[in-house]
Amino acid sequence: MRFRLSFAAVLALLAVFAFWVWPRMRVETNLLALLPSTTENRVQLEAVKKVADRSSRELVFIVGTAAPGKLRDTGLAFADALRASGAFARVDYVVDDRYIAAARADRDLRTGLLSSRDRDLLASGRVATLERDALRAAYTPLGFTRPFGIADDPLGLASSAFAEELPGTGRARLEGDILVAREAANGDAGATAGARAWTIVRAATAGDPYRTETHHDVMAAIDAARAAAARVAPDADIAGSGVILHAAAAASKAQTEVAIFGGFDLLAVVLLIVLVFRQVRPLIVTLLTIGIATCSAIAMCHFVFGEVHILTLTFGTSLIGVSVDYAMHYFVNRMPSSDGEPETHPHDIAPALILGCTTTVAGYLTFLIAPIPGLRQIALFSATGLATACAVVILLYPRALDLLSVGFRRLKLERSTTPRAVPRWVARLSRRRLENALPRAGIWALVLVMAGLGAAGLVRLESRDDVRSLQRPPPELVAAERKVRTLLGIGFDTRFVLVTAPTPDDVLRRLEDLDPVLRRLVEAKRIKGALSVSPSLVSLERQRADRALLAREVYAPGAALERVMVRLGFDADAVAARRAAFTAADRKFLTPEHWLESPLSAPVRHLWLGALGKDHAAVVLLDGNVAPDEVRTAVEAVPGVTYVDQVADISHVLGEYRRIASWLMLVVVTVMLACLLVFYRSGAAVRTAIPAAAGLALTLATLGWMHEPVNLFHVLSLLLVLGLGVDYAIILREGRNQQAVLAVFLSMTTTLISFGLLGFSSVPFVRSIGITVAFGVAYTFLIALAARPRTH
Amino acid sequence: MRAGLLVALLLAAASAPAADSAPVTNAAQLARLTRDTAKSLSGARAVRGRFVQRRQLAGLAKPLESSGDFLFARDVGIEWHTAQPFDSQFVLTHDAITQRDEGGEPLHISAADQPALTVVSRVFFALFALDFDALSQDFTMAGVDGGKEPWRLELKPKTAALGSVFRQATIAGDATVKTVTLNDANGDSTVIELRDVKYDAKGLTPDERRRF
Repeated sequence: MRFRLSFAAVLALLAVFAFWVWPRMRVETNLLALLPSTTENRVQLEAVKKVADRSSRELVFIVGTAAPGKLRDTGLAFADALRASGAFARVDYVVDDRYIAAARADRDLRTGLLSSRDRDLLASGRVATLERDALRAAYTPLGFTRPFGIADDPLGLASSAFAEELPGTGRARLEGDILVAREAANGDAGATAGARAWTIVRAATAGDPYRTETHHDVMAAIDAARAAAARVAPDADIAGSGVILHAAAAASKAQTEVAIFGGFDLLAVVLLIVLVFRQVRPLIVTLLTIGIATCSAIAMCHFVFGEVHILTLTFGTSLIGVSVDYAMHYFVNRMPSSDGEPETHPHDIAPALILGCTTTVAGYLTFLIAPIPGLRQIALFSATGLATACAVVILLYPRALDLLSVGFRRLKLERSTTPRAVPRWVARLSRRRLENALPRAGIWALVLVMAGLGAAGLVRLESRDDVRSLQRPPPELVAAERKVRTLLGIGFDTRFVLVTAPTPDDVLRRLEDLDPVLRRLVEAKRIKGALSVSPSLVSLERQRADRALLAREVYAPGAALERVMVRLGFDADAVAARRAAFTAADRKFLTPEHWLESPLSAPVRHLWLGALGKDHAAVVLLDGNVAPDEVRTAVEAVPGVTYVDQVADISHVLGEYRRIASWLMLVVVTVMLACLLVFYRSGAAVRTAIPAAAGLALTLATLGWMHEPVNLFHVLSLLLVLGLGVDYAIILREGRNQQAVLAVFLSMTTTLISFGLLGFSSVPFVRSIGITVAFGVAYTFLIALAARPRTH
Repeated sequence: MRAGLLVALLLAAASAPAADSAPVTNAAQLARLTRDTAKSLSGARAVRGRFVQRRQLAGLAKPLESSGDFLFARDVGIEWHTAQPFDSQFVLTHDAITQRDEGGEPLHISAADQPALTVVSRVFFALFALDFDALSQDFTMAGVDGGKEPWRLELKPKTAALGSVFRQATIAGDATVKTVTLNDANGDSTVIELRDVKYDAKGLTPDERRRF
């Protein structure tokens, strides 16, 4: 009955996995999903997410060639190939007249807009300067730089407001209709022959930047575009910058790692089983168990998180090595002892398996304490997989093996059902004891030496809580990004300024309050510049104030407009017409809705976050932020303004949780000892706990000797080692002598292989966990073996 | 030099009277058309001369007239010194515009802040240097042989970006560039007459260099 129910449950699980989870499964590759929620402030969190989502789609390419006449066509070939691929929602290369056309179309809405210089001049009564500029523009080539004609905009107010709102292009210059940046000539300012010129192509991906399909499309499109550019100019050189390039690189690396680690793991498990058991049934049954455990783990993540993170899968390969333990314990327990050992009957190992599974699952569940979504998924994945494997072994194995054995005999796959005896070398190892091999003094000496080495290692231990422990971008991407940044002369980083307020207009007002602060920071050379929706979008309050100023200083009878127009020779009708146009536009204001629809908002549209919970928000990006603390103090003096530094916040959170986890480790050791004291007599309890505790200390000492700075992930892995280590000690104590040694040896070997492989991961935190667990289980095994109880 | 050109043109006119205003658009033909100007220009490090600018604004009966002298320095910039109706110095380099006049604070506009500025400065440089490579990137050119001037080039912007500034530009001259006409997108048109143009192979004097 129990068997049938369990079997039905397994079938149901597999059916759900195959027909429900698998077709809907979404593999998340966003490394940001790993990042901790650094703040209790939900608005800020939402803002960070929104900014990241938007900017993750953006890509900047520089296309360079030394062939002077071919630059435009090379860029065009590149841009056209990107466009033709369909992988991009937007590809910008050739600069057209859309901005000025939009500004001309909105002429009436823009009558009230002023540049900051003109506003200052008008407000401070220096209107004469404006008038003089207007005359200069009429008589000198200066007039050609004004996008609005003199008859339409006699004082040039609309022209300068328009010029101010377009973001600068850094070191790039508009040449014809493309943006061109030239490498800074070494030494002499004169143009050096053969110097490479670069043009700029911007693009935004069409698909979700964190979907693997998008990565394939985008990377294929970039490769094709590179080839297209090379056909025009064989020396074409292209460098790109964008979050999606990082995501694609990380995802493809993670996929390779899943395949390699998983493959090696399975191979190792198969080899071990074949070598030790020399039977087909254990192999098949064990592989099936691993399969069922993996399916249930993936299904659990799918239902709880709605997706499975690619790094969970990378880490999940370790499930192969860990979940195989229970099956191996089961088979080892059925093995007869090898020569000479008094035969004992296989006993019910369910209690030992449950106890062991509980301690390991508890080890994984400690990962949940850190508010890092990626780590939580890993914990849930592993805990579910292990619990499933354990349940399968306890509930299904005896009957399933009997049934299989009948079938196998019929198919002549298996000659005998009698399990093979425990290999001789294990039997020998199990008889050998440290106490017999070494005199008591020798043992103490060994312990002292180990303690000394351990202490020396622990002294060397240092910690580093750095976001780099979460991800480390490939150097070639970093180099390409630096190249783009240097060439464009613009360097926005991950730190930004968040402005929130109850209404959109309040956000704009606060942005306008922030503007002078930012200008002062630029003048003081604390930042190089800032990118903001202000002054492209202006608050209603400011629009009203500017109109009042214009009405008084410019459009009033006998004021600046009339004086300039009369000087230039316009008649009274022309002056009246301009005045009428101003009055007619009186109730027309530039609104966020209209602005968002206009091409003019394109360069900064992504900085307008819109509604964010109950509030509205916008962000300001900082260019060349060299004095973060000073900048933070300055901008946060404006109400509703927060300086957001994700990287510092994350490092801070990592540090905080490392300390919490370290304390937790002490608590766990204490609690574990208490539990064992209840289960066993005091001496045995200590003997069961010592290997794990000493293993932890030695692992930390090894990290110290390796000069590997300890972070949260090492500490959490130690908690996992604790769970596994206690497992070993329990089995050594509970199991029959030879069989216990073999079971623990197999368990340690598979775990060592799984986590040892993770130690080669390119993802820093996966690597941290890998090496810590690998060293931890090895030490714990050796100590547990040496310290196992004398008799049983 | 000038005599040689005249002779050549007379001969050309005599042999092909029908070629009065047949436009040529081929680059090689264009180069041949203006070769004497181009030849004298190509050797020059600096060009000096006087100008009269007449700007016809939409809605004004009388053009706004200004005059002064100019200095074109290859690879450096253009200095446009207006003497009438007021004294004002306009200096255009690849990276910035600076305007100074007596009594007022100088106006400095950097190309990094105003990308459109580089479009204007590039056109000015190319017009003065008769740099066909640069001009042909931005304009489709049609040359007209004969007529009132020995040669005339009509330039129409190729790109929308430039089209939003200039609708058409015309350059005419003999051995030197004589007039430049710019029709801007706003309906205003500007005719610049260049007089006493002198080419100098030596380049700028130290005094002149300081002005940039």
